[in-house]
Amino acid sequence: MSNPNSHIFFALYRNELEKLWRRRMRALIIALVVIVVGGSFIAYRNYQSFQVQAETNIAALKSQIAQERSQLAHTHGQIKKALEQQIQETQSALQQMEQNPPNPGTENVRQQLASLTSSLKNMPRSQQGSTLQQIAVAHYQLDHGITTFHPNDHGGYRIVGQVFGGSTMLLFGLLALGITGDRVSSEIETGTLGSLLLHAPWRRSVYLAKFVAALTMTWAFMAASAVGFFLMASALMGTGNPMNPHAVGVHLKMVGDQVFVPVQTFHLLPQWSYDLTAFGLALLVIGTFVAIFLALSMVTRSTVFSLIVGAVLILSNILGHTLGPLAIANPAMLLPLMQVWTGQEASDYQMLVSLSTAFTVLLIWTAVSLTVGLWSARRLDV
Amino acid sequence: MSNVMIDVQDVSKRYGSVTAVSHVTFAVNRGEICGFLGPNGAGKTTTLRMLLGLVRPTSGRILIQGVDVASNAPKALNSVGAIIEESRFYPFLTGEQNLRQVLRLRGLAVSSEALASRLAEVGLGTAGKRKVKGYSLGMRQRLALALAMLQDPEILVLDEPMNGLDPAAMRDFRMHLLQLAESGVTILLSSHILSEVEQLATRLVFINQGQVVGIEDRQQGTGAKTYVKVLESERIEAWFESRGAVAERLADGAFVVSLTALPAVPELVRDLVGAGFNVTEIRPYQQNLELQYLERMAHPQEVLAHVQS
Repeated sequence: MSNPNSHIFFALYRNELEKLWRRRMRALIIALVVIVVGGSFIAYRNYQSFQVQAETNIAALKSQIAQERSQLAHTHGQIKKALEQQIQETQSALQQMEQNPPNPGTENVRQQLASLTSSLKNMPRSQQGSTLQQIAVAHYQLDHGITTFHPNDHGGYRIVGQVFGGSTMLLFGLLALGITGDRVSSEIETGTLGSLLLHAPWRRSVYLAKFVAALTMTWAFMAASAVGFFLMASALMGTGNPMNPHAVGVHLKMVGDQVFVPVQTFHLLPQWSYDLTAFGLALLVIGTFVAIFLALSMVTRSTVFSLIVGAVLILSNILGHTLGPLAIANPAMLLPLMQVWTGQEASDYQMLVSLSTAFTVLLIWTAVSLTVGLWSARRLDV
Repeated sequence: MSNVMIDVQDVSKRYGSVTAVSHVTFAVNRGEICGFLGPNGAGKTTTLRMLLGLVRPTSGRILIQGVDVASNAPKALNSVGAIIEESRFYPFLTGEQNLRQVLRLRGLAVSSEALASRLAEVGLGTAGKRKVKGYSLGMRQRLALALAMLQDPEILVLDEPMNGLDPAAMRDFRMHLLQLAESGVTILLSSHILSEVEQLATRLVFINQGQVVGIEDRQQGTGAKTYVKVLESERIEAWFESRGAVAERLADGAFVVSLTALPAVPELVRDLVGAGFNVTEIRPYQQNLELQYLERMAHPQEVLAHVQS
């Protein structure tokens, strides 16, 4: 025990990883399979119902056209002209729907671009943001030649971005709680912490090793989930388009109770980059929760209490927006951190928060949790 | 180099309004086996946990080889091996995996051969691959012993180390402790098994209701008092008095006499025979530890007053 620094920390870290793995291995593997397989099948079911809906709509349109044609034989004059016009529009709609998956096509995108550009002329500058965003997306599609592909909402690439940038993050939050919430308290309850500190009286290192090990395990699980989701969704629905554009970094503004995009302050990310960014942001936000849960386990010294408080914190994401402006301080509201960057969080909850503010909030929570945890570890009697 | 290995100085521990340990002071010298005795709830485990840096004292300080445990636990505990009450291990790990965890922390070899050899030393050779949750209390104590002995510690702190050991294992353990003490290892031993402590301890610290109620150096006691039994018991008391010695009559008619005021044992025997006494038994005297223990615990305040005076 002569070198209390790197050797001890590495040994403690390895020990913590070993304990975590031996104790949680079965539960983690089952959770991984359930989340990945279950999540992918839910996405696949949505994809199927989308297709079924499309087919139903096509059948309805075909039947409508047939009906209108049969009526055409019995009509004259203005009515006949109006009916012919209607049939033409219905046929056009049918043509679009029959492209399965719906493909905007280069011409359609060009028409859409022209229409958006002309509408911009009569729009006050303060309200142009949203239209500018659509124009940028259309330009991106034309520039990257992806009008020939469907920018679909399904497939391997898309699902990864959705999983790490959506409400699925609640599951990963709960998973982080399951991995971290009893790291200290269960050792106090079973008396093993005393034995551990007998051989490693470096309390700060013991605490930090527990933090890093829980972080490693949670992040490894998330990485395995990302790969699993990609493979499962690709097998069931195809990979999707890795270049599909997404607008991020959208600065929003509230006018009354409406949220809108005031200026062109966004970036476009291709799908693969969106996925990686969503994954990276998810790792960051989960890291904060690991720090919080470990501090809870340390301070409460009770596994049950720590798990209950942790679960309430995670689930406060569901009703957290009712706190109004204070909701920004709730880390659970930042769980789908990608949604903060895309502006989705603001649209859904009227909670205007920039990515830098979100980072600051998470950093404060992490720093406070680690400080409280380390302070408490120093004073702990076992 | 100081001979004092463990120095507990006026240490107290309070939990809210409850005082678990109050102004405890004692020291243990190099190579001593110090028995730490007291009833349940007397404060033994709290004191030992403070000594091992697991519990912070409310006041006072504990030095191990001159290093304050509270301010520098890693250095103070560097050469300390310990078994704390009810040795706890990770039940979901095997004996080998539990051992490997500690070997890693101590920077020792963690190869399968090294693990197997260390487990075999404490009689757990075949049980190493089993999860600890299936171990008996005795097996857990053996594993705890293996961990306490890693890196040949200079000081051993043992809290109820014989719990769950069978008689043969207890004898082996006792012999092992004696060997360690002979080689200079200092041992602080808390146990409810008084007969074991009696055979091992060279110094005794009695604690009751959080206070030290007696400290006895058994090595001094052994040389100072002698048990004398003669056939003429009615006139020997006067004979001792005439020679300026205070003799204490025991229930069996024998006497305990301090030899500080008398010649050494061979001369005493010669004098007794010369004075016409028929000596039937003469030997070093030690008061029965159980009796001593019960005396200390029965009237702690009176004994404390005696110790302090």
